[in-house]
Amino acid sequence: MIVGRLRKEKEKGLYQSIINKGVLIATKRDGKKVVYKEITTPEEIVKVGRRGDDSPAKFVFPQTSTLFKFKLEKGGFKIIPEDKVFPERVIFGVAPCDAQAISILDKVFLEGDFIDQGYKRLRESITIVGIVCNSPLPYCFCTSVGLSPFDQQGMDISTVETDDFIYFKGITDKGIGFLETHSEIIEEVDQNQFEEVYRDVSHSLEMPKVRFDLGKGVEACDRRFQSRVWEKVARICISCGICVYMCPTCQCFDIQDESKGFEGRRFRVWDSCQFPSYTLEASGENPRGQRAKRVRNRVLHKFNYMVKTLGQVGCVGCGRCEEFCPESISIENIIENLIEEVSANE
Amino acid sequence: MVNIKRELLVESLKEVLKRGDIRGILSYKGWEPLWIMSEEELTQVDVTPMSELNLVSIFMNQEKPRLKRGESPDKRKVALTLKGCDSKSLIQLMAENMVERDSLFIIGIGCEGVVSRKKLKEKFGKRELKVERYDDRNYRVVIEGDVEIVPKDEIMNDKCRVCRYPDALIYDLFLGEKRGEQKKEDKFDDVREIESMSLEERREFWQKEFERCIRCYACRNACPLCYCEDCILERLNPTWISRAVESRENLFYHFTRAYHLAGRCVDCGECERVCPMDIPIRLLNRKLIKEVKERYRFEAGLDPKASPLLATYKIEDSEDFIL
Repeated sequence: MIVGRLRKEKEKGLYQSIINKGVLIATKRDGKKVVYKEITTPEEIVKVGRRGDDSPAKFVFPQTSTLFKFKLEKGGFKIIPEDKVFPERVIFGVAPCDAQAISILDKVFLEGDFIDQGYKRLRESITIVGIVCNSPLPYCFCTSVGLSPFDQQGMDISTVETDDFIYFKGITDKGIGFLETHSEIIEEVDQNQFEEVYRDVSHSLEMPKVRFDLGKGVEACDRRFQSRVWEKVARICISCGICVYMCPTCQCFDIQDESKGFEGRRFRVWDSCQFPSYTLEASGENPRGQRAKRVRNRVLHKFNYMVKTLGQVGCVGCGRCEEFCPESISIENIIENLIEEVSANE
Repeated sequence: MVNIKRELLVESLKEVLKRGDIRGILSYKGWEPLWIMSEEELTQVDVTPMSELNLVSIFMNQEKPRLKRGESPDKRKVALTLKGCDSKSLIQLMAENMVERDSLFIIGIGCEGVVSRKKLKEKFGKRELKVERYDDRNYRVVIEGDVEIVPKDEIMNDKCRVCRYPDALIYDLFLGEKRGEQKKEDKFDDVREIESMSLEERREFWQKEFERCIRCYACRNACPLCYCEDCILERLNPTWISRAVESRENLFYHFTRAYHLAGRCVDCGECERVCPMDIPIRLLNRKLIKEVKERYRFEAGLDPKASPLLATYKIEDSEDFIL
């Protein structure tokens, strides 16, 4: 089954069935925020029709994860591999920006010369069920980075809702497998029906305003390594890690060993290029000792370095960095200012 | 903030810029901090009830540029527009010898309570909006051309409810109307509520809050009084606090941070304002403020010449809690 639909009255039945078979992750209320969390009863789910306040990427690339454990025994260290078996997990309600972000993480960790085995094992246990984003937030700018509220990139299953039904389309083998597992609840329909509904819904969407021309933005980033813009932002930035830790595509990490007695573990934990200690070298030298250089690194990593290494912009326009920045520093404004600077110098 | 006419503000700041001994003015543009170095930048200045953040923290976060050989440091003053609460943090820094009074030109600003950006976001969910003073009890919120009158109680920052010193306590120039010391007493109702819980409930409460912490360290960086160059968090050998983001370590982080502010915190509310995970960090600090007040009758941030509380000893200091 590639395409199916579900009557909305039966929605909770589907969630319950997922919970019975493994783990369901979806948006739920936590204090004042709507965040992605493990769901224990279908009633907890709060559907918002947009991205959650935090990103589901944290389930694909957790903030702290153990790589292996070690133990000192007679004759030396013994390495105990971390081979925890992850239960099948389904993340429901992933917005197009976050799905795209996860596909970027996949490129970073699963493509190229080195495949991250820990990431791979975790990633394989996860099925991503995406949505069409019908209520973008005022901070959203996905349309400025070449995406749209109805993109399907990075999703295993794409869904779209009408008044009475939820339509499902399996995109990857994993997604199709999911639909087949739940074929008792989800009835199969003709693929054209899905496409028709999808087209109608997409056309009626409110699109976030395009803030800048992406081509010009990427070009400006390539040309403005030296720019007054960085200095200006650095004057009000406080070098906290909010923009990085709220970002669904930031993927830098630090590796630490910790031991107690004769046992210990090696783990990895998110790191932030905004912290001065990020590039601090053993000699005491810090190539990014100044804040302006750190601010620049985050922007150029997404709008220049990733363009060169992955062939795509590393920003998905979710707007969380600006939304949660204590000083309201906006990445779109930075790109706009760089573009202005380039055109003023010509 | 109070009804300072924008024209008066701009004119006054223009005069300040002309003094010749000013390196720059640190003020507001709505929610954002704004550095004003030139008259052109002055046109963007906008001090409103949205001026929630504490500029002292931006001032303290400034980088000191490395001087080239033969270059002398820029000794010109920085001008700051300060509310009462912000001025308290500055006074505490002076008491700790971290800031020289002569290096600053302080523009005191009368304040009638600032708006909480978080509350406003929750209520309206909009980005482009403006908040102005309407009258003593209401704000005027302009959202995409529509005007709404909102009672102060709904969107005001919680710290303003217990504010006793709305006017800057030290200044070289004062703009707006002074309101004087407020006679209301801080009853610490929020702290008492937690205190009334059982030990088990309290542990559960904080564990739940700290579980969300992502250790972005915004609360540390935004705190005007967190200025250690060598922070315990950056130390790896020995590792006092693990880099692992787990609820036990998060708890240790927050307790350490709070304890370092005992007798120093002036309740400017920056830590809670910046927290992206809505952790009630202020509550922890306020517990310490309450303890310090009850045990030592001391309040930080009122006297730039006061000796730091924990560095002094008085014969009448209470000792009943020492084992």
